Amino acid sequence: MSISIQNVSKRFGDFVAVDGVSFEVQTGELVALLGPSGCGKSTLLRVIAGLETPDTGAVIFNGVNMNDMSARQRRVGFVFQHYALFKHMTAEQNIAFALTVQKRSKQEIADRVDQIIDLVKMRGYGRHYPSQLSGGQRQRVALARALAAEPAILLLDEPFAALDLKVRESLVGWLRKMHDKLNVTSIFVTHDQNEAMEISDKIIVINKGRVEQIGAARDVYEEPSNKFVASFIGNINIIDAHIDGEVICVHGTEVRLHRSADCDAHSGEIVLLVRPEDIGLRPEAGGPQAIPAVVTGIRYKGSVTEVNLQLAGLSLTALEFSKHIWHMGERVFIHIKKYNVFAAADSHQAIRRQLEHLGYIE
Amino acid sequence: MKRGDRILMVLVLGWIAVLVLLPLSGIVREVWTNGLSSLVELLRQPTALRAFMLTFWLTLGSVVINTIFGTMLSFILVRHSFRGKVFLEGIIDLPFAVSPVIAGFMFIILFGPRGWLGSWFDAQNIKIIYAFPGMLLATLFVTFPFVVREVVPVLREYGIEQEEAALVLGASPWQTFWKVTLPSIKWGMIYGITLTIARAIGEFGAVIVVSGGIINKTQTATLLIHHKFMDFDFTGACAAAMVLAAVSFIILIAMQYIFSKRQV
Repeated sequence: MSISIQNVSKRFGDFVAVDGVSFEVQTGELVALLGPSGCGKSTLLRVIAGLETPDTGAVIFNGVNMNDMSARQRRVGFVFQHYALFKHMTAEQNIAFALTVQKRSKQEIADRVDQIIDLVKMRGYGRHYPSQLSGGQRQRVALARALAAEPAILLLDEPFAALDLKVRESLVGWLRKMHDKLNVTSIFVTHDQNEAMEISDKIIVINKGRVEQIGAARDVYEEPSNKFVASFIGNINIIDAHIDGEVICVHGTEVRLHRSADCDAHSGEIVLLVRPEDIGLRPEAGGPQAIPAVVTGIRYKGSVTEVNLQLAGLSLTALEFSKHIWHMGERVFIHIKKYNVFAAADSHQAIRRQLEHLGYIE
Repeated sequence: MKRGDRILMVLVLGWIAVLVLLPLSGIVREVWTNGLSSLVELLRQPTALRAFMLTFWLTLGSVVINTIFGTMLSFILVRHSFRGKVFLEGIIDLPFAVSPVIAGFMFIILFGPRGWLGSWFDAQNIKIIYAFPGMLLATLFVTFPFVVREVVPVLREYGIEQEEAALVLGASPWQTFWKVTLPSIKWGMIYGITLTIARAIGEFGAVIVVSGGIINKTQTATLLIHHKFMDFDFTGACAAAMVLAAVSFIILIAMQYIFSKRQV
């Protein structure tokens, strides 16, 4: 079943949670709604499920306007962040709930529960109460409960946020496999860009109730449409610079960088956004584009080494894939291999503050 | 166990024995020395049976009405915000703060033959005061806070997520209430009901004011004990007291048992 969101807005008092959002989800797609906490992504998901009524706009399933349909009539599968399992029911009774309220036959319910309990790998736990299950198991029961009545749409609200890292990693991969098997149109909300990039066909980046960018993981990472997306998806270095015609100056070093296509500025203050893996380190200058810096931190991570650098008043992070051994306090030269450039340093300050506030950069 | 702990335990247990067990054993001993025939004799008196039955009906009425309205009020307090909510929350505790005698007196003023509403009911030939309705009203008043006070925190902690889940899964509001909400707040309700029962059985002050204590008509079990005691029928008072205490005790034990079986 395809989903079409058309100009949906929702406000709570003075707070605008969702602000004129439109997007399409094709049948069988797995789409991530990605954004910082409080950006309105959960509200949007609840609007789609029918748990909130939009102030404007329309939610359309397969060409049919759902605005006048209650949550009960829409029959989407919904997985809540904190599971929302019925605590007084066993795992089996939870999973059977949708079928029970539809008054299906006992045999049909038993067969379906049996089948889906295998699907979510919960065999042997059917008679356990939620309080007797681990976080990951509860989440799988919640998913089984949502899927039991075979919904055409599955909505997941931060499905893995409450789980610890290891459980989360295994469940994320498992969800993708499950989606491929069932091919149910799915939207999941997350604030974790790794999660979004890892399993979704398409990422919808949301900030302050608005859609910032829609695209595949690669598009959103490599070709961010604005500074927010660039800084929110993945780690990023924010470098103040100055542009004058073809020459970009970074802290007194003239760097003859090729102007990228998305740079409209010809002179003035600019911001370079550079991925850590796009900063190359060399022991010697080896050319006019090298910018001198000092190594201030080294974190060896096996396949890759994270190197912290100090460049005048600026802290940078580089990811080094070479086996070269760097030393603390060493003078090195950095080469910027790829970058995105955005104008207006003032809004860059605003973005930096926002990201700092959210804990995405230090 | 450390020495200090042992002293503390002996002290506390001793205190409870003096405060609770000693007076109780007094009644049991009294009944025992009078012979169990005093119990049999009591239960043969139609007056006594009527008094116990009246207490039963008052308790049942209070439990049913206060459970229904108390639960509905809890929902309003937890799920809705409106003007005067803080005021309403304050009012709930009023029956705790006001002496039962005053409560009874309030009903006399209101429903007495020359009261505000009483004169109207009198004209319709409906008796409120010195009759069952007035006694039920007084008992309802003094037991009103229990269910609300127990259900509100449970309901608040329970939230609405499970109900939303039920809704999305296709349950009707009615199915959601019976299958999801009610089982979740059940224990709060049961606890509130236990307290309501205990209080309704033992209520004396409010009931004595509104009932007039008419034998065979408006005499409850507590009024019966009081009456026998004032009448120098010490043996009868003891027997009645023991029956009433035993009923309360059995209910308490039964509730403890149910709570111990509690699964979630």
